[in-house]
Amino acid sequence: MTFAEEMLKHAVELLYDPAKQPGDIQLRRAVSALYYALFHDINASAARLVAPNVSLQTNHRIQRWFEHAEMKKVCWRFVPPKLDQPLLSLIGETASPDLRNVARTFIKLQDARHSADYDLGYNLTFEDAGQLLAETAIAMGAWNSIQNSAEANIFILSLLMWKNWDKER
Amino acid sequence: MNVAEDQGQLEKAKAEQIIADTPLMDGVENITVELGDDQTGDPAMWLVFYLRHDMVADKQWHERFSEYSRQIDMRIIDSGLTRFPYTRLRRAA
Repeated sequence: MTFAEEMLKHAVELLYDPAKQPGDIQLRRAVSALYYALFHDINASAARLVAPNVSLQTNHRIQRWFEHAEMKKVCWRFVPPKLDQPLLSLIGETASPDLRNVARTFIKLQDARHSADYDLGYNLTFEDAGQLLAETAIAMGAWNSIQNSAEANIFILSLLMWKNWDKER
Repeated sequence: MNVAEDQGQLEKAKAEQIIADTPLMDGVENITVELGDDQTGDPAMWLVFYLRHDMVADKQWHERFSEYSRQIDMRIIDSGLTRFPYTRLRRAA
């Protein structure tokens, strides 16, 4: 089981513990785990793409290159039905439904994770958390099916080096 | 009302029309749209789904709801709205 899958499983166990209903703390921890499940799922693919032959230790260092806020901004660039430049020339008029769904879910999870971890006034319901769990599982499945595609390569490189697409070389 | 607020209200009205044109899923009584900024300060909208008070939201229901809310989200995004549509689920009173 990958680290991302472990995080997803952890969220499931927090939400669907047969012994007790989840309280506010369990709901918040579950949402945080869901965000990191998708975050690490994408980052693990990225490290495999950019440095497939490095040691595990170096692989883990590479996965720490990602910046949360930058990832959200880049994800938003992949969601619209008609892509702007530079993505238009890199992958075509639109991203696949799977990639759009991964990007959309990432944005949702990041905002929910931030609220769950820092906003004590956040009114997080069991239904909210259950919904995010379902969406995370779908997004991870979608990512699994496209992670070796050309558009996923562009997505990963964009997450790491978006500004480079604008440079004239 | 300034230009940004006008734009926000226009986007809210457009989102409400898209929601009105979409049949309600079983267990969902009503959907409202709220405007605000997300955690990174970007203008956003929250689609608040009010669920029937006695409805059991199990895993299967959440999976079906995911597809339902995805379709609404994508219609909103595909219509050119600039605010990201976040989702909230609440029990109807």
